[in-house]
Amino acid sequence: MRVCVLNGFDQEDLTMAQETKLEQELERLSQKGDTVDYFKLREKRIADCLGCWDCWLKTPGKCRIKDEQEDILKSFVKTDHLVFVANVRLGFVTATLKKTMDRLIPNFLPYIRVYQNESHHYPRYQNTPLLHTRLIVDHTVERDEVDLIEDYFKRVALNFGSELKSFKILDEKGVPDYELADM
Amino acid sequence: MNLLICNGSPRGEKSNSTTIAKWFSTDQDKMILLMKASKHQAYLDTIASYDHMVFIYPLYVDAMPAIVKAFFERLATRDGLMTGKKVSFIIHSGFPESVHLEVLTRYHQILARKLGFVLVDTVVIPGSEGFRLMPPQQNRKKQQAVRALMAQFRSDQPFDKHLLKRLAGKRQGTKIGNMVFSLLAKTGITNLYWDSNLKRNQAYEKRFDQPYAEK
Repeated sequence: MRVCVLNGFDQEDLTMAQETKLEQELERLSQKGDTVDYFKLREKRIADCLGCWDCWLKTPGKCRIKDEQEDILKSFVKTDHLVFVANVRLGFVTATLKKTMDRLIPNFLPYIRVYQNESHHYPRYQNTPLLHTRLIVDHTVERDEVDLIEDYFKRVALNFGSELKSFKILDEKGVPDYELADM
Repeated sequence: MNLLICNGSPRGEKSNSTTIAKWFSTDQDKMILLMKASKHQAYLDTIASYDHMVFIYPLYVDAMPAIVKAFFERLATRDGLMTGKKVSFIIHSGFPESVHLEVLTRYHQILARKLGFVLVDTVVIPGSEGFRLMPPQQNRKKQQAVRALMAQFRSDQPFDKHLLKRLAGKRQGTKIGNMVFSLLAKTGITNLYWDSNLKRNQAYEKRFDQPYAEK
């Protein structure tokens, strides 16, 4: 099994306990023989999408920005499971995570298909990973925010031609566990 | 009432968001470009002197562009800055159905609660790709509808629900419409816009390239 984890935590004091647990769990997966591509996004040099569409219309499949996002695009193509991790910031995922999500479009074609009764882009590659979300909440986060974020990732899965396989909410103390092993 | 227009397109001035803004803006309105991240802090001071704000941005991977989310996060760092301000949103996407914009529309309600502004409404415009390239007469009715809604916003009138609905169009395509699209797609007609651009860039032969495929 191959797992790609996009860690979009943007605030160490809120997420330190959870991040430590996440990294311990990933270590266990590696020891079991699974391949883990782990990206701590706040420490990566990744720019915002320019909306230029060069990745569709000039250099198909390749972004014009040369930065560490390219490692994520490569991992996306190979992985079986793609895990989005973020704390809830202002009722949504962090800008840190969203920046990387916006830059996934080189792995899709500009062409549109009707998929599940809606218009969506064709994937560029045959392999589309299953999606998972791990969301850190604190006492300020309300139910409708979590519901909205879950609906958001369902839309992302639909757009990717994939499925949201799991969506887990975790509090800032680290309970319940990440349960990555149940993928 | 003068408006502060917050243009959230990563394409900045050369964007469909700018084109939409031009449909209703006056010389007295001010536009700020959120793609200029280095100016976000300075923009907070600009915001302080406006009561009415319009955010315009395209859909990026099913939500707002990351640079817009980063700006929202910046707004939250200044306590009370947004309290009581009247805010409307214009969101648009290249997809022809409005279903793609529903989550984002819901999010604006949460954002209003978090930042304390008065959410007037969200104007949803699907099928926006190419607005900036179209001759003005091609989408005249959409321009009129947006202009009318923004006139209502300026004068603190509630938005005309009929106009909002008309701009949003169909939530999803019909079965027959989707079937016709799928049939046309087989002929390549639905790809003409993309293919002509690919050919102009001498990239047509590479359109299905998979640079990261395992060899």
